[in-house]
Amino acid sequence: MKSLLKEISVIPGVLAACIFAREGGLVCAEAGAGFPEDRTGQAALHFFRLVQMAGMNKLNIKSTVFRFDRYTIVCFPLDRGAVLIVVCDPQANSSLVATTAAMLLDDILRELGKSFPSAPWGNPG
Amino acid sequence: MALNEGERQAGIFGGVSLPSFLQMLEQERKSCTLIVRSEDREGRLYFNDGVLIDAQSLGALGREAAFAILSWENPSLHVDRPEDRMHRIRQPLAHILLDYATLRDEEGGAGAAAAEESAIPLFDCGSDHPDPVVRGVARHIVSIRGIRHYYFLNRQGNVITQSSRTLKLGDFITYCIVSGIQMRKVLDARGPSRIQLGFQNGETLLILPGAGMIIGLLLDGMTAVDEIVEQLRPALTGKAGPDRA
Repeated sequence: MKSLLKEISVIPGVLAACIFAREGGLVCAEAGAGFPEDRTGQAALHFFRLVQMAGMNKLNIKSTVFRFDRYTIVCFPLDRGAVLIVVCDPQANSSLVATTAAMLLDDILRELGKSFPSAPWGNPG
Repeated sequence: MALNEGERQAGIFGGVSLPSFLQMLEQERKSCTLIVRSEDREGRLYFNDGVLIDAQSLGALGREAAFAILSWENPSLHVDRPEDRMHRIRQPLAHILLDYATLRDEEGGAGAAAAEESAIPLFDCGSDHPDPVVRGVARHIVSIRGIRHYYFLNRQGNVITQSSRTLKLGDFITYCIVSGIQMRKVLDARGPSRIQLGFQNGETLLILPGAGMIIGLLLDGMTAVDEIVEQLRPALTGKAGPDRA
């Protein structure tokens, strides 16, 4: 899992990435120097709740981008009650980040399946 | 009155002029999408309960698109299910037809052709909201292609106005803002200046928190978010000015 997150974190402007699961909390994190891992986990929890709220409104989120002054956060809901979030510099190519993450989603899900074989399939919501 | 299955499958209508068919839809209080084809062009006229609420053709929307469609020769007509659209047309159908006829008589058809090519929107109204700022931004929004619906919320997260009759997204938009504020605290940052949600059905929800209000825009799948933001910038920064109509 760590190696998959590394593939995202090597993109220029990516500061940190993590996978957060309903079962297990912060599953895996990859953060550069000076960016605390626990922050990505807390941000991921807020996105996890947002995906749950979307599900209650019959909205099926594919990806979400939050733009702040210092960061851009690119988020994806995963199957098995998990989410992936990537923290980027505001000037980072968020489109490339999103495309790379989408490309790796199947591999991430496969790894998640090994970590949480009992977790149900489906969006976090 | 929505069309029943038999009416939706009626397909091409021949021997009836387009204005006559439009008047029939109005009289019968139909809710439907009328797809008009002529040569390699296609346009759509949207009816809700017999009221023409919007039109779309090539690069045009609203009344401008309706004029363009009316100018086409030998159109074929197809009726499809209704769509929940923004009200880009506020005039009664009779006024639209009369204005089109006047334009055609005065300009020998050149006016309608020019309207089809023109990039200048000819919208009648954006929103009826009493606040001129809201009305001005709404009017600007309805002129932008690719925006399906708008939602205006106040700072407390209550809906001020929305263009969709059926899709209630106000609470969800507010929750997105709340999530963004929570993330901001975690990250020790300012914002969010923009939240962009892509859905599995291809639509995008763009949320723009502002000083005075929060704007949520539901976009078509193929719409470029940065282009929408760029087109909206004059209205959001107040450079377009409040609507004084």
